[in-house]
Amino acid sequence: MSQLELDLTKVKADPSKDFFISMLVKDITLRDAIGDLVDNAVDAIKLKSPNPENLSNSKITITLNNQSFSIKDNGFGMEAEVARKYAFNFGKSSARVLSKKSIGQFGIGMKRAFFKLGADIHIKSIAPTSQFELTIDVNKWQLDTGNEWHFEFDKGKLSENTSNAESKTGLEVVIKNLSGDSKTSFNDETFIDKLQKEIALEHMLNINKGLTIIINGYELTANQISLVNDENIRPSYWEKISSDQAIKIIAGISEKNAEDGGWYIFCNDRLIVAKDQTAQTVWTGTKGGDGVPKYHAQYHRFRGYVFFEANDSGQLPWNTTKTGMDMDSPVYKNVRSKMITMTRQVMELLDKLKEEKEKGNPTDSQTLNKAIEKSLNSPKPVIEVLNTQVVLDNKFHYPVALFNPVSKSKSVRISYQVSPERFEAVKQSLDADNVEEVGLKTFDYYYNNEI
Amino acid sequence: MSSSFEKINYTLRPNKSIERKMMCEAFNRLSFLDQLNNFRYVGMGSPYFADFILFHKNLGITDLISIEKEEAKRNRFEFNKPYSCIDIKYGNSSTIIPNLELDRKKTIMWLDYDDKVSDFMFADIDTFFANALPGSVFTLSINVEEDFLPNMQDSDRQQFSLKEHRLNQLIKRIGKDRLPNKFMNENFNTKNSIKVCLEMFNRQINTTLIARNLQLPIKIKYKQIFNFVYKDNATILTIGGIIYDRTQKSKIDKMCLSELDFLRSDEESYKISAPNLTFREIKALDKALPDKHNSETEKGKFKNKILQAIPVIPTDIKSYAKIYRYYPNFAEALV
Repeated sequence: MSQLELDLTKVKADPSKDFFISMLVKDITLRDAIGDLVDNAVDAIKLKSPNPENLSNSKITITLNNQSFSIKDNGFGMEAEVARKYAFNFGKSSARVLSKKSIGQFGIGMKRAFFKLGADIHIKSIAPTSQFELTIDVNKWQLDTGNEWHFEFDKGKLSENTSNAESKTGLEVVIKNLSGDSKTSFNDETFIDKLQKEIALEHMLNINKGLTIIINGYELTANQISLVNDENIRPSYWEKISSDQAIKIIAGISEKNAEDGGWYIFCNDRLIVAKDQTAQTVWTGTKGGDGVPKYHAQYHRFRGYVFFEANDSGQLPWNTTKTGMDMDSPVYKNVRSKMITMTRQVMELLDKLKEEKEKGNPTDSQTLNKAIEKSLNSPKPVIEVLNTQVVLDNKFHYPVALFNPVSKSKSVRISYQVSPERFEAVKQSLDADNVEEVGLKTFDYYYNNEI
Repeated sequence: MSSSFEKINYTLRPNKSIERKMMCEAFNRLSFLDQLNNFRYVGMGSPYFADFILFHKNLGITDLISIEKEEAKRNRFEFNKPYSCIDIKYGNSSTIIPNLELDRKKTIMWLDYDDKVSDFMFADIDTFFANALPGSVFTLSINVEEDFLPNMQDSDRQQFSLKEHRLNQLIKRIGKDRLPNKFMNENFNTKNSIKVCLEMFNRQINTTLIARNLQLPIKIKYKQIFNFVYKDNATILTIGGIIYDRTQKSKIDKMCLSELDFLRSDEESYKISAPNLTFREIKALDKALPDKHNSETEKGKFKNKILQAIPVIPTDIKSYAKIYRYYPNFAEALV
């Protein structure tokens, strides 16, 4: 009998492994599980790269089919000591060693992703000073009901105090005995295509920095984020920078593509929120909402970008699955309030563009629209705008003097009804062709004779 | 539709004129916080610019911005601009104000909306309180006149009661989500309209400041100073106050705002009501004011013998005594 059963003052509260695993994987989608593993790979790569702005020698390769899933990177690998003490520990260890500006999460992310994908997990790591292989047979592990939870390095595959060449380091994970979800999805070209598109979007900044990501033989290409910044238009900018974190927000306009409009939020270069047109960012509607009107056609050109950077990824205001923002985070609440103000700044122009087009204002008179259309032909990459020499301020600049709305008092519409007999009589008398002509001619007649 | 400035000559609204002068007197005390010409005034000048003239003359403010939504009448506004230092920005307040860089200069803002309470006003409050420098003043005026059932055929009229109609109108303007639950069953006559507007504005101010203060080492507070109600034709509510942080607290105390008896820091409004008096009566009353008996009466008669002798009803005399320093003199004149 164990000590616990003897102590009558204690209530048994330790979890069973199968319950634990089923809870863990419930909160995450297959797609996000793969995303987590990519994030870990990116962290290992950034740790190795002497210049985090240049990732041109780095590569992540993912292969998936209905038999297996594998992900391989040429980052720094995982030291045996890290694996032993932290990486496989469930929940965050107080002594966790995270790399600076990381996006992966040792605490939950990696194991949760493994369990979601399948039951036979094989890890092979070559780190600068150690190397190991480790196999997890989840079904077997579940059956072991001992109080201690642990995995074991593969026999004979662990070596420490070695010195491995940088060109050799990296981590490879191969998962077999796939879960039912994985089997179904990995057989589906649509799923794989979507995965490629979404990973490309999430890591656009890293791909722009030279990182190669290959999924099933297809090399992902970077999406560009852009803003107009020229002599006519200058985006609004706000920043808050301290020693351990930096927040930058930039908002303006870019080419009209309904799909791409909205807010984008990056956390340590990882895109968390893309093209957001919902209340999560600013588009709450104004009837009771704290943000701006609901997103609609008028705002298609709006682009806003938020860049959070923190040495400690625990300070980033994202949710645990990195699929959205933590709406209760004080940092995000504060930033969101700025985002709302900055959206309104850009709306000053967008409202005017719409107003200028109203009431049959001839195209030639739409001077503001014409100038903006011209500017929209050459938006610039956001990174370039952020590094521009021109000082950006917390104000959206546009050529307000060009605004030329049609005067509401330019013409008056008159409408009245008369009997058909009287109308026909007047129409004949005026020799008019239609109703409008009858109206105009009768008015002119009065004006010419009485005024 | 014509604007209210085209229906009424703003300079001939006696209660509004009194309110403006009272506000000016309060703004004068901002000199304890900073030199007055370091402030910027942001208002809605309409073509009369009465507030701009008063504040430029009395406070010496030279950075003045007027927000004007009717771009189409641009020529008329520019023609009526009384001073060169007024910059008119055309557009909606909710998109103009965010681009004013409120965090660069202390602002005295008076959003003198013509309208009844509307959703866009909350956006304006939000922008101001999220961005304005501590030491700035925010004021807004709205029409709180109660709604009446439209003239309809008898058959249609049965559809809604007056109470339901008022609630529907309010929800149409601000949305159901914004209306505090405790007001859901109110009859929104003028009195309750004032109550609900005050509550909703204060909630918005509070919410915005909470979000702003989350990341600030020195917290920003709001102190309400204005809560005026008056009626020249429609009933108007003006609320406003100052934002400050603890480094400014002692300067705020020095302003001794409590000396100004027309200031209100709670939900009880100060009612401005100018009596209609002739010039002769005004002259006679002024001679007896300020009254050392504080216009007290005994058995229906003023303790002050001079006041007692003036043949104006006592309530008008009392009203006048409260506001005589701000009472406007309207006369037909060739100018």
